Amino acid sequence: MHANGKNDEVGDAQRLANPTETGKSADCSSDPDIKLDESAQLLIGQHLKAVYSEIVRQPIPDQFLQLLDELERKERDR
Amino acid sequence: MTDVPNVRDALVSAIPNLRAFAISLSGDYHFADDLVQETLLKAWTHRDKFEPGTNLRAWLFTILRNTYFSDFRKRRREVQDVDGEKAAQLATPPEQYGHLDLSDFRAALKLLSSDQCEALLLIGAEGFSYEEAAEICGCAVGTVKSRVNRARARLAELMAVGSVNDFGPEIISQTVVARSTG
Repeated sequence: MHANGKNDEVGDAQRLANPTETGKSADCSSDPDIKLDESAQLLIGQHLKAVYSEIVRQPIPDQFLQLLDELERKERDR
Repeated sequence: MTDVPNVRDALVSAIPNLRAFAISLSGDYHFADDLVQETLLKAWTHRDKFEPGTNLRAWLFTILRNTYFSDFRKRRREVQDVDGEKAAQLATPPEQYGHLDLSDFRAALKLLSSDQCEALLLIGAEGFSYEEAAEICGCAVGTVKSRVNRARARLAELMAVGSVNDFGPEIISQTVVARSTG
């Protein structure tokens, strides 16, 4: 439920009242051909693997094993 | 009679990676676990459609990402509060790459577009080939390459001083709005 449904209206009104908004033009889109230096790329790769493997190493939550057990049981009872 | 125990074992062994992918892609543990649950259910239900001898892991990742991009992403927008908090943390710029800790990186990962994030995870974290990733994502190999490049460039940008401040607050305010619907 919305506690306050006016957020968007207010935002639009402000934008309309201030059409010559400047200083927010920072375009963050990256050129696909951009060449990262090797150390940056290496570091990104290392961080990615570290973050990822941290999750992979976590124990499998019971809910998944229970789901598969249940599916298997239904299959047998059929 | 199908080889039920084998299917089960294969699915179980894929769960840790499916989960890591889902969590990294969606940025939300509870949401990701729903996604994995749904993936397992679909894989089990449609297991006769899996062709033995082909890549089960790729098949499962395809199911998961299709599920994510078809229905789950809409739901995700409503439970994005964690992302906002992480983005706020990122607002403290690291002095240099070497000082980044993993939570900063996690936060930066969440600020990638879904397309770029997905490509980066499949290639950089899961170790799929570009061809496999293209098949999983249902796009051209060149598209995957370009997305991975963009993702890396964007991460480098995000991890660099200051840039995150430009859009962090915006995400947080979106979050506050979305949060009030819960």
